[in-house]
Amino acid sequence: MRVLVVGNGPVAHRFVGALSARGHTDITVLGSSRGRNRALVPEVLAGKLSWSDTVLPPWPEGVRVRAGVSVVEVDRRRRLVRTDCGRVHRYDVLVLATGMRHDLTTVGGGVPSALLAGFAGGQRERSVPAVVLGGGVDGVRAAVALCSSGRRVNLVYRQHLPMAGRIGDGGGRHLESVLRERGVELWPHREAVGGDGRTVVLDDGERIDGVGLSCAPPVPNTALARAAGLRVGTGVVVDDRLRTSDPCVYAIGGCAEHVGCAVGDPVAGRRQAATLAAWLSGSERSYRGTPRVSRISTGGVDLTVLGPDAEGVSGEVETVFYRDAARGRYAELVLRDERLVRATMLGLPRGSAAVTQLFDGDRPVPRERLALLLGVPARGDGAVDAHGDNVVCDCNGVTEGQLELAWLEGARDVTALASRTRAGTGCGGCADEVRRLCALFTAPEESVWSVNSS
Amino acid sequence: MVRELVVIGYGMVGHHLVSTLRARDDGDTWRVTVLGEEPCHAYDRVGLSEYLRGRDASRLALGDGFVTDPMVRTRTGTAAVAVDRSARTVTTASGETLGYDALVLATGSRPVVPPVEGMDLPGCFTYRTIEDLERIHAAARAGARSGVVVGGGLLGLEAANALRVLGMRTHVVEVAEHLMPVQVDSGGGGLLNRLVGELGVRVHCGDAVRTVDGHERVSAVSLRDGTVVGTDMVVLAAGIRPRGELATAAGLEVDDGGGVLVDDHCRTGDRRVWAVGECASVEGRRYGLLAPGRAMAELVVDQLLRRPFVAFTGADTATKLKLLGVDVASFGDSHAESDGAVELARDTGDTYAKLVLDSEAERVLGGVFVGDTAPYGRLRALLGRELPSSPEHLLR
Amino acid sequence: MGTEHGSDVSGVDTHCPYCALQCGTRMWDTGGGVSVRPRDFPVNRGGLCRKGWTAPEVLRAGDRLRQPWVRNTRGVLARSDWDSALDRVGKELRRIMAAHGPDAVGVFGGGGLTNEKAYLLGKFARLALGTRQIDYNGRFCMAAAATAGKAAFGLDRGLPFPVTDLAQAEVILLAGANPAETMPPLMRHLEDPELIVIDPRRTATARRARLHLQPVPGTDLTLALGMLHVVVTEGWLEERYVRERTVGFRQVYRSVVHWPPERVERVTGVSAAEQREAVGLLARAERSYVLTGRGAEQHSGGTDTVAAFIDLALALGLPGTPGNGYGCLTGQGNGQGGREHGQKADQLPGYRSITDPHARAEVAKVWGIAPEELPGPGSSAYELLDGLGTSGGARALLVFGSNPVVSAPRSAHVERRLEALDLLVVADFVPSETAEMADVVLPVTQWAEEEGTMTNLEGRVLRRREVLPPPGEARSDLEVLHGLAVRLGQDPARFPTHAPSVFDELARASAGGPADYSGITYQRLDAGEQLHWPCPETDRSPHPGTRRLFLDAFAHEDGKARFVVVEPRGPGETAESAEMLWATTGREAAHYQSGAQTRRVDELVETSPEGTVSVHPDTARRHGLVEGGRARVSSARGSVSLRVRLDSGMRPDTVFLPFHHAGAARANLITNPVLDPRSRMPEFKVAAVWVEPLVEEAG
Repeated sequence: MRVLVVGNGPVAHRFVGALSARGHTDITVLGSSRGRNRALVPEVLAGKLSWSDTVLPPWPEGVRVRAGVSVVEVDRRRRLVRTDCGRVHRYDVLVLATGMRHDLTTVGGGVPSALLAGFAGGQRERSVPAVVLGGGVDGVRAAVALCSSGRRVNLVYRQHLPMAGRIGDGGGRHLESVLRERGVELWPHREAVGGDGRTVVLDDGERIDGVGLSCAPPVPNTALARAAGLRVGTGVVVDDRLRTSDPCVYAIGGCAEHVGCAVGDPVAGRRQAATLAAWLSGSERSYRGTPRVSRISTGGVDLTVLGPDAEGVSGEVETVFYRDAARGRYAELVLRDERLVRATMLGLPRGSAAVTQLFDGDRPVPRERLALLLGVPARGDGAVDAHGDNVVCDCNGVTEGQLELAWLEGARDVTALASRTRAGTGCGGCADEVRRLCALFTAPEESVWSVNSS
Repeated sequence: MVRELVVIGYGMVGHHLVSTLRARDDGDTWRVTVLGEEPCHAYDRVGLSEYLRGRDASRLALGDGFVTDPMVRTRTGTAAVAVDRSARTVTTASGETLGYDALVLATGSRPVVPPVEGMDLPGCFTYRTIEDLERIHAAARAGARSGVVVGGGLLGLEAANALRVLGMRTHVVEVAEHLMPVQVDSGGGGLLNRLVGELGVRVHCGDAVRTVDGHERVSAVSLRDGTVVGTDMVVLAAGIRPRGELATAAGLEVDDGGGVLVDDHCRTGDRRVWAVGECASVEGRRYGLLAPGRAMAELVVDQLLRRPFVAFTGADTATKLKLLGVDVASFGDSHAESDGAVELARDTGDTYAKLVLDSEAERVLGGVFVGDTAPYGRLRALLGRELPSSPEHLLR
Repeated sequence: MGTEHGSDVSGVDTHCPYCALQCGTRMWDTGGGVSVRPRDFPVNRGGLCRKGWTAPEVLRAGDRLRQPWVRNTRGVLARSDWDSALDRVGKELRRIMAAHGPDAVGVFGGGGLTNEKAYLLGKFARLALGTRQIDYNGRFCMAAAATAGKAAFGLDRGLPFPVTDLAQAEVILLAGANPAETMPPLMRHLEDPELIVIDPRRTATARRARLHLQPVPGTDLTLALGMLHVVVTEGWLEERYVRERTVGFRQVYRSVVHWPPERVERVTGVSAAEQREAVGLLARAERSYVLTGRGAEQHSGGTDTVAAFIDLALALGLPGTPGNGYGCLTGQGNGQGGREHGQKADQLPGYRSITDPHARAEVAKVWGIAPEELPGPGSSAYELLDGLGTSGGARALLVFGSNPVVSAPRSAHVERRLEALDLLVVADFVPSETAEMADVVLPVTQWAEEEGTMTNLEGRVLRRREVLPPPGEARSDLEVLHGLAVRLGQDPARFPTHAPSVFDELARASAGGPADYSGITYQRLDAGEQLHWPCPETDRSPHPGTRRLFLDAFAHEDGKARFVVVEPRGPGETAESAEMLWATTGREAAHYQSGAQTRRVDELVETSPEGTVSVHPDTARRHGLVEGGRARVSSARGSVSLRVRLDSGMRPDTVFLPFHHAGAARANLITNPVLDPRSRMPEFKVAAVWVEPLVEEAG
C-alpha cells in the first residue's frame, strides 16, 4: 500500500513512526518547512531549549522524506499529487497532516509566536522587554515562559481578566493575581493597533516599549484540501476513521476537524496519528475524540483547564469550589452524575494531574474531592478501626496488645520486648514507638495522663 | 434591704434581663422598674412579619409582663428622658423621677434613614416595631399594591416577607452584590438572590435608592442605575443605629456610631451603669443579633447578684433561619478572613454549602449554607475542632 | 514463640532461605526442631523479618516430602524409592530423546537454587541431556534489569555496591520497588536518606517517602523520559561525566527533548511539578542513587523502561561515582547467582553467552567435551512452558526449585501445557501445585539441611551451612542430578554431589567471564572473608573481591557506559472502556513468591489467609464491592476470585493482586504473557480487567 503523507510536523512524524513500526514500508513524506515540534515553544521562550532543539528526531529508516517541497495540486481522480518542483507522487492512501498556520498579519510589529527564530535569540535579546498580544492560553503561557527567563513581560488582552472566556471570573481573578505576583505587567481591555518593532501602541494611545509577540490562536491549513474539493469546515472534516469526504484521503492533527476534539489540540493529533496507523494496519479501533485540556506548567504557574469554555456548560450540574488564597490555589470542578464536565485548577499540580486522568478516561470522580485536589489519600467516613488494637510493628505484625502482654510477663525494656515479640527486629522503623509504649507501660499514672491530655 | 434596679428599654434583651434576674434572685434582693417607650409589653421582634398573619400581638408577646410579680413594675409607653448619675435618678417624659442603685441601658437601636430626597414623604415606613407594622398594614388596606424594601440583610428580607404576606408586589434594593452580605458569601449569594427572586420578589443588588419620588405620597423610587420603580410604599431596613443619646447626655462614653462603650463585663465608665443589647458597644464592637444580647443580659444579672460569671468573649455569629421560605445558615469565619484559611464549597444548583478550614484543612473555622441547612448543626458543633472524617462526608 | 538465647557456640552461621538480601542468621538444633536468630551481618544489621523468623516451621511442615513419589498405572502418586524412581525417569528420558531428540526434554530451574545447584543443572542439561531447552523462573524476576544493565554497563550485577553505601545517601529514587514490605531489613539502610518512590500504590515504602509519584500502571518508561527531559532543560546535566564516561547521549538528547513534563503528565498522571521536584532532589544531593524493582521491570517494555532509568542515572553522573549509583533490587534468594552459572537458555557459567565461541571453548575445556557438543541457545521460560507437549516444544520437563503453576503468567494455559507432557519430574521439598501434577516427585533438602553458596543482591557470595540432617530419604538436588546423569550414561565424576567440589568446578568454569568466581573458595568464605564477584584467581595474594564496580571504568571495551534511545510503546493491552480497570500484581509482606513455603507457616497464613484484591473505596462502591466481600477479577486470559480489601491509597483506576495464593485465587490467571522483545520478560504489572462482586458461596 503506497502511503503519501503531506506535512512533516510532529503529528506526521508520530503517524509515520507508528505505521513503519507496524511493518509498512512504502511511505513518502512531503514537507514544506523543516519539521518542528511547536509544543516545545514555551521552553524555548523560557531559555531552557534552543530553537534548533525543536527539530524532530530522525524519520524511521526506509521512509522517503522530501523537505522544502510544497504540494500545489491533488488529483483525487488519478490519485496523485503534484509538487511545486513539478514532481508527481502517486498514492493508494493520502494523509494530510499540514498542521496550522499563524495569522501572519501581526499587529504592532509583533513576531508570530510560530516564527521565533530571532526572538528567543541570544542573551542580548533577553534585555528587550516583551509585549505578548492575546490573553488566551497561548498568550498567558508565552508570557509566563518569557517571564521565567528573566525578561520583563507585558500581557495585552481585550477581556477584563486573562483567559476570562475560558476559565470564568472566579479563575480569572486568581490567575490575574498569580501573573502579577510573577511580575507580568497586565494591560486588560486593550488591543495593539500599531508599533515599530521596538514599541507597541495600544488602542487607547498608550505606548509600551518592547517587542510585540502575537499569540492569537493559529488556524488550520486547509487550502490544499479546499482546492481538492474535500469537505472543509474550520478544518478538513474527518469521521471516526479520520477519513475525509474522499475514502482514500485522511487528515490528522491541526488541519483536521473532528467532532470529538478541539481544533489544534496536540494530544488529539498524536492520538489520531496512532489510531490511523492502527486502522490502516487492520485494527478495528476508531477515533472517538480527545477531551479538551489547556495546560500551563512552566515559569511557576500551574494551570489546568478541562472541557468547554466557562459559559459552555448548562443543565443540572454540581460545582465544587476550592480556594486557598494564601498559597495561590484555586479549583472549580463542574460535575454531572459524578463525572467531570469541566474544571479549572490553579496551583494544585498533583491534584490537577489526577483529575485530568479521570477526565481523559471519562472515569467517575471519587467522592472526596478535597483529598483528590490536594493529592492526599481519602480520609473515609471516620469509622473507627474495627478491632482497635493497632499494629505497631508491620514487619512482624506485632500489636500494642501483644507488647503490653509481653511487658506484663516481664519484658521490661525495648531489647526484652524485641526478643519476646520480635517487634522492631524487621526494618527498625517502629523502634521509637516501641520505646514510647515501653515508657508508657513502665510509668502508667502520669505518662498515660500526659499522653491523653497532650 | 431591697435595692432598686431601673432598666431603660423593654425590648427583647431588656425583657430577658428582667426575667433572668427574677429567675435567679432567690432572696428577692432587687426590685426592678423597666421603662418601655412602646405601648405594649416586650414582644418577639425576630419573627415580626408573622404578626401580620392575624395581627394578634399576644402571639408575639414575651412572657406575661410580670403582672403577678410584686418585685417588678413594668411601665409601658413611658420614655426615659434623662439620667442624673450623681443623684442616681432617671427622669421620664412625664417628669417622674425614679431612684436607682443600679441602672441598665437596653435602649436598642433605630433604623437608619438614608439621606435621600423624598425619604420623608408619606408612604415611607421604618420596620422595627409593631406600630410600624400597623402603619404598613393600614397603608396596604388603604390600597397600597406594591412596596420597595431598602436593605437586603436579615431585617430587609423579613420586611419583604411582611409585604408578601400582605399580598403586595415586593422589591428589595441592596447595595452589596447579593442579599444577606454579612452572613452569606459571594458563592452562596448568587443562589440566594435567585431563590428569593423565584418567590416573586424583584431583587436589585449592587444598587441603591437615589431619590424617592411623588408629590403628596410616595409614587416611585429612582435607583442609582437609573431604573425607576413605581411603588406605593418604601420600607426602610437598611441597617440600624444604636440609641446612645441618654448615655451621651449623662456624660457616658459612646463609640463613633453612637453605641454605649462598655467593657467585657458590659459595664460603662460608671460602676453602677451597664449597657446591653444593640445599644451596647462591647470594647468597640456592636452585635445586632439576639444571642449576643441575651448573653450580655445574663452576664449583668450575675454581677448584680454577685454570682461567678464569664466575661463576654464576642459572639458566635451563628445564624440559622428560614427567610421567605429559603433556608439560610452561617457560622464562624464564613468569609474565610482568618489568615491562611481554606474554603471548600459545593453548589448543586439549588443548594450551596461551604466549609472554611484552617490552612492544613484540618480544623473547622466556619461555614455557609443556602437552600439546605442540614449539615449546619453537625458542623457548627465542630467549630475550632479537628475534622472527624472527610469534609465531603460531613457536608453530605 | 520467641527466641531463647541458644548458646552461641553450638549455633551455625547461615542465611535466610528467602529474599535476595540474604539476611545473616544463626541457627541451632534444639532437638525437637531448629531455632533462628538474626546476626549483626552487614546486609541486615541484626534485622530479620517475619518470614525469616518463622522459616524453621517449613523444615518440619506436615506434608514435607520425605521419599520419592511415582504416579502408578491408576494415575495416582504412590510412595516409591530412589532407585525405582530414578530408573523410571532415566528410562523415560532415554525413550523420549531417542524418539524425538534431546530438545524434547526441557529443564526449568529457579532463582532459589544455590550456585552449585544452578551450575550443575546447567551442566546436566547441556551434557547429560544435550538439550537447548533450559531456562528458569528468574526470567519472571530479573531478566529485564539484567538485559538493560548489561547493555548499558557491559556487565550485570544487581547492586554494583554494598547496601551499606545506601545509608550515606541523601536522596534515593525507588522506581517500582517496595522494600518496606518485600525486604524489610533493607530499610535499616534507608532510615536517613530521603526517598522518592514511584509506585501506582501507596505502599508501606511510599508512606515513608518524601515524594510519592503514582503513575498509571505501564507508564513508568514515559515518566523516566519526563524526568530525563527535566535534567537536560533545567541545567542538571553532568556534562563532564557524560562527555568522559558515556557514549550515545546526543541521540538520547534529540529524542528526549520531545518529552516535556506536560506531555508526560498527560500519559502518566504524574504532575509536571512533581517530575521537576523529583529531579531537583536527586540532582541537588551530593550523594544519590536510582534503584529499580519489579514495578519498572515486569512489562512488555521492561528492558526499555530500565534503560530509561539508567539514562536518567547516567545524565546525573551517578553510576560509578563514589557515594552515588544505579542498581536494581534482585528478588529471589539467589536471583543474582542464579542468573550467572548457566541455568539460563542463552548462558554458560561465568555469566557468558552460549553463542560466544571463546566462552564455549573455555567451558567445554572445563567440562571435558568438544565445544561443538555444547547445544546452542534455547527458548525463554514462558516460551518453553508455552511449547510443552506441542510439536515444536519439549515432551518432558524436569523442574527444580520452582512452582510455575502459580508463578508463570497466564497460569491456566501453563497448567494445560504441563498436562500435555509425556513426563513431568519435579524436585521439591513440599508438594507444591506443580509437584502435584508431576509423574515423579523427588524429595530434596532445604536451606538448613545442605551446604552451598548463594550470591545476594550485592553480588556478595555467602555460605549456606547445614544445621540438621534432611528428614526421611530427602536428598540434595546435586545427588538427584548425579543419579539421573549416571542413568543417562554420564561419567559419575562429572556430576559430584559434594558441594565444595561443585563450587570449585563452577569457579574454574567462570574464570575469565564477567562473573568471575575463580578466586573464591569455601575456605576463604568460612574464614569470614566478604567476597563480591568478580574475584578472579591470582598467582600473587588472593584477590579481595570487588565490592564496588565501575569506579574507574565500565565493563565495555572502551570503558564507557551506553546511553540507549527508547520510545514508549505502552502496555500490551489497553483498557477499552471506562468501566475497565488496570490490575497490577506483586508481593505482600506476609508471603514469598508462589507461597509454597510461606503458605505452610501458620503465623503467616493467619495474617494473610487468602488471595485479596485491593481497590479504592469509591471504585469499590461503583463496582458493588464491599470490604471483606468477594470479587471476581477477569481479563482476556481468565478470571480469579479474591477477598476485597478497601485501600484509599490506591489509584481509582487500579486494583492490586498479591500473587502468592493458589487455585482459583492465583493472580497469574489474569496476567498478560506478552513478552518484552529483548529480555522475554512477561507483563506481570499491567492487565486490563473488569471487576464484579462474587456472591459468597454457602458454608
